[in-house]
Amino acid sequence: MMERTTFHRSLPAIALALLFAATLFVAFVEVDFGEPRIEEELPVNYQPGEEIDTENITTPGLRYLANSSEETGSANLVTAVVVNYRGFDTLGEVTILFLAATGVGALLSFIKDDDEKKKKKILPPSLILNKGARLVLPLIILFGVYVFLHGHLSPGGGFQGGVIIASGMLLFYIAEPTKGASHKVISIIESTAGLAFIGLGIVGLMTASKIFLANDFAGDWGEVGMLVSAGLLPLIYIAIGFKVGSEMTGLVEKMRGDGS
Amino acid sequence: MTPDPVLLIVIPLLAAFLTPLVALGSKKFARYVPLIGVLAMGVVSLLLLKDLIEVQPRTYGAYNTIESTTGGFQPPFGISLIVTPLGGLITFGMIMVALYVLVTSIQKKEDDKGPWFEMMAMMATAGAVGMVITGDLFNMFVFLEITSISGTILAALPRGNGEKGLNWKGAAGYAVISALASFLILAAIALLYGATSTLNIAQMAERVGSIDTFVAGTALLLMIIGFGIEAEIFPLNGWAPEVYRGSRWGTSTIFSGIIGKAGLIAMLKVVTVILAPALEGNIAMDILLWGGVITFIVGEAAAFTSKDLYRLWGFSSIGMFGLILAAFSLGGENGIYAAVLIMIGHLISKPVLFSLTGAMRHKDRDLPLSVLDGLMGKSRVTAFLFIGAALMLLGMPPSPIFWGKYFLFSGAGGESNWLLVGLLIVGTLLEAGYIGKLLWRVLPKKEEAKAFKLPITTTVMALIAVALGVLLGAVPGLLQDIIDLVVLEFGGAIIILAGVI
Amino acid sequence: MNELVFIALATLMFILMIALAVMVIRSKDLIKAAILLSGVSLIASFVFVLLRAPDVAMAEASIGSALTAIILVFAIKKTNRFEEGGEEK
Repeated sequence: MMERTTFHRSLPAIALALLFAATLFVAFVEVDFGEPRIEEELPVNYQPGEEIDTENITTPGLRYLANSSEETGSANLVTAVVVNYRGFDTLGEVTILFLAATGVGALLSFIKDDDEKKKKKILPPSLILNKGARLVLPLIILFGVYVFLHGHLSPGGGFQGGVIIASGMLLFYIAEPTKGASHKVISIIESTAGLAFIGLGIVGLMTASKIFLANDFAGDWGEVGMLVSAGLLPLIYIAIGFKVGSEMTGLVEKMRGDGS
Repeated sequence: MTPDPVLLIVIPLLAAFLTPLVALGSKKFARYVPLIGVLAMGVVSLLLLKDLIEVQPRTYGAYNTIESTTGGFQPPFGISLIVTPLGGLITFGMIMVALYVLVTSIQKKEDDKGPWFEMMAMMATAGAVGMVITGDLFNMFVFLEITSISGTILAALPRGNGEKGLNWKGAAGYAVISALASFLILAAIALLYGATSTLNIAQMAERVGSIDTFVAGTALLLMIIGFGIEAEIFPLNGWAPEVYRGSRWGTSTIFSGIIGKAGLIAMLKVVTVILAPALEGNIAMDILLWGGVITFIVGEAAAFTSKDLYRLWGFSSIGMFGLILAAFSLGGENGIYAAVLIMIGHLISKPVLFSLTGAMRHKDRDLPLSVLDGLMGKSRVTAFLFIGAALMLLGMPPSPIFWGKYFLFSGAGGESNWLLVGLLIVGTLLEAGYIGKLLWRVLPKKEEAKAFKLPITTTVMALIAVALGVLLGAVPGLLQDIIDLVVLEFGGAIIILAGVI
Repeated sequence: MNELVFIALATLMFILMIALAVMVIRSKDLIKAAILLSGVSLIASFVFVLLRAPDVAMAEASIGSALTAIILVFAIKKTNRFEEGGEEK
């Protein structure tokens, strides 16, 4: 009933939204995504994967595609871009997550008092859930660690690995509603991992290139495709993995509150 | 020695990650970590500003910039930071506002829950600084996100000691609308990246030729709406009054002095460097000019009718954003002079007004104008500081805003744009109206009034700010060097524009 | 992969996503909406695999379909399960 009466009143808004959507659609169709914009930049008989001379090239994407493994030592192109070429953005993204998690915790600390009276009875989890979670949890955490340790070799990385670990912890929380990790430990891991990320960035300021987040050891350790390779990139991904894992775990823990 | 501009970002991030660690040990001491961080940022930005003015560029008529890159690759392959004259000046101003807020609020025990206000204030400043100095479009988006998330948390924190309730209404409104702004800006960045295959702003400016007009127009619309939300430009500022009304004075100061300014500068940067050259004629700058003028009139009119002191200053900030935007978009030497001087005057006077308003605590959520009644009898110092800052905001000489308005009127008059002159006069009269109304309440002495004591830090900081404002208003020549550089910077943009058409 | 199969699969996924998204908006039961939303993310991560972006797919699958949904569910448990005009007030 209510929908009928408000429908014609919201017509202008719907029309505006449709117009907006149509404009966006036309604009996005107009742009050829994924096509090289400056054709003449590529050498004449260029084969994908072939290294190009960086002197003649100005488009970032072309250089990333051709030279990433030589320049960063990472077999995974996405990791090379995310952690090395555009590592500064990643530091920003990690900070965004950190601010959101810390902010949610801070705001929840103001309203916790009102929630006390609403305490509900906790239903014990079923036997299958409880035992199953205990069986699967180590495997999930191991997989998460694998994902962030191999970030420079295979798809995945610090973010993905951290989130996988956090989803394992989530399963644990569902299986054991009364238990939980200590806030203090989570907070310490979170902050230390963040400081480690910045510290690894400052290493770049100290070494040869004097540039923040520079990966000056790219070719020094191991060969492309080995676990120990790509200089600082795996270390940064380990820091991100710990940070994201503890942050998301902390966020879930804070949102869960006390036994609801 | 020139410090690396990347320090402006690294220092606050370090301090932010340290704060929770320190808070585990001592919550009281943890409050000082963000303060030290902002202080260090201030030193770095002062050194940068000094270098910008003193180091002479190699060719006559050029201006100096300080550049830095990250990730070990030169731009456009790595993300670069570029401190231009305008960027250096605004960065310094914003950090000083943050310092004012942190120093003034550190003595009062606002709450014992932890150093979250201080930390979020610092991060909002860091994000705003990043938006202003970054040379990369996607990096600008990342900093915008940092700013808007810390802004949301700031808006939600309760106003003060006695009050338990969070400002859900203001924070939720800002969270939703700033998420929308982020989406629109991200869509515009995707369009521009698709069209030019680069995210570096300088390189994008070289490649504007390959942007289709329809795509450029859509991107312009998205960018103006997105950054307009952050810069509180009419009609995109519906969220702002609720934030100003319900949060503590420090939050209001940060929104009006730091977050809004950063949105404004980021919008100007994107529009003047990339989008205006991509479009024919003067469309982009005209939109900004008239949008700014309308925001000025609407903001001042809303302030004139406002019954709540916090909202009044909020609307007055909105009006000022409009005025600054209009002055920048008017362009030319007069326009840039006006914009920079008005911005400096606003950066100096608004924190004083917000902090004095915040000191006049009131039990209710609203702060009716009647709290000002007989302020002269209650506390002479507060009244004098209040009158000084309010007159400075209005543009009573000696005030930087007086000179700003002088240049703005000469600029508009010089182009024979009489409609613009008329509208500016209407807005200024509205402004004079409500400031006169406030002074009318402050001045008369009432014998029965209870004495009111201003905290010592607020007194000292406000005194410094008002003195600085009077000094810059009396001797505007002190700012000559840096403003000339800003004019050159925008002249550069105008030359690019002429080259493309 | 055969191009025709690719297009058919992608179209099917997009239709499913839009249908689920509409169901999210229409649902008065917020917990149901949260779970449907995680379904949208799950299909999105499948689309990312189709588009050969496994890194993004991994992040989308674990953040979008697991963590976001559970955080929403926790938030809903602290407030009301049903929207106004729903089954329960």
